[in-house]
Amino acid sequence: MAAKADTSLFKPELVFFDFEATTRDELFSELGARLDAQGYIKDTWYEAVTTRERKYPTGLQTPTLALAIPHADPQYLERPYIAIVKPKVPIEFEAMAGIGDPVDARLIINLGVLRDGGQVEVLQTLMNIFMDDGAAAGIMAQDTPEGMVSAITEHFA
Amino acid sequence: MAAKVIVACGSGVATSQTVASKISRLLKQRGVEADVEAVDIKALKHAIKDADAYVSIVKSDEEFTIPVFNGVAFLTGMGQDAELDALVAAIKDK
Repeated sequence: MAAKADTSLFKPELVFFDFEATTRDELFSELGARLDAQGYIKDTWYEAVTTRERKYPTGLQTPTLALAIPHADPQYLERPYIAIVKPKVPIEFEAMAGIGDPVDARLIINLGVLRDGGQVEVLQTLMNIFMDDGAAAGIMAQDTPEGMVSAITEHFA
Repeated sequence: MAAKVIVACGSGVATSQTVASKISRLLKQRGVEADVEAVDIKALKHAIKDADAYVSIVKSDEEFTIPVFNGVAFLTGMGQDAELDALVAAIKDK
């Protein structure tokens, strides 16, 4: 049996609505500063996540909205986390696999997952949320970190 | 014999495993026997040698000798049915 998704990875302290970023690099820089302050990442993370995003872009046009799921390899993490950023303005991400146009991501989900950390269940559940208009709207309507965490974790049975 | 399907992403951790698990489930629902394996991009060259299909979620200009499918469709659900139909057609007799 696959490991059950660990919803404790979603935390209000890791939900951000106040980023001023207008570009990917600015976003990673703001996010890196917050994650570093809370001890989630190593100081090599910024370089790793920006390099990886250039090589393997993570923008996704889902049926409900455009989002991005940037991630760095596990060796750049101190401990697992999932961070959610709803930036003030959409941030352009190249499309995953280079399929289709770049997407203006309205939500960025940074997967700080370790190997065998239940990441399959987490990502699968997240993707299912964004196939559903009502569920996606429910998440995008959130404006508090606590609300965002519960709007997401309620989909994990 | 079961067909072998390879899914690759940059790290072999999050995305490729998720897509592999979904494809595995969808193929089972269609009654198609297949081993679906997630690998990181560095292991692709080796893994692809005895594979029947490659599901890609990374940019590549490389040419492959086996059929290549769009893995993003399985992640987002956009265009998933068409991609699954094509994958099933490619591997069902393997």
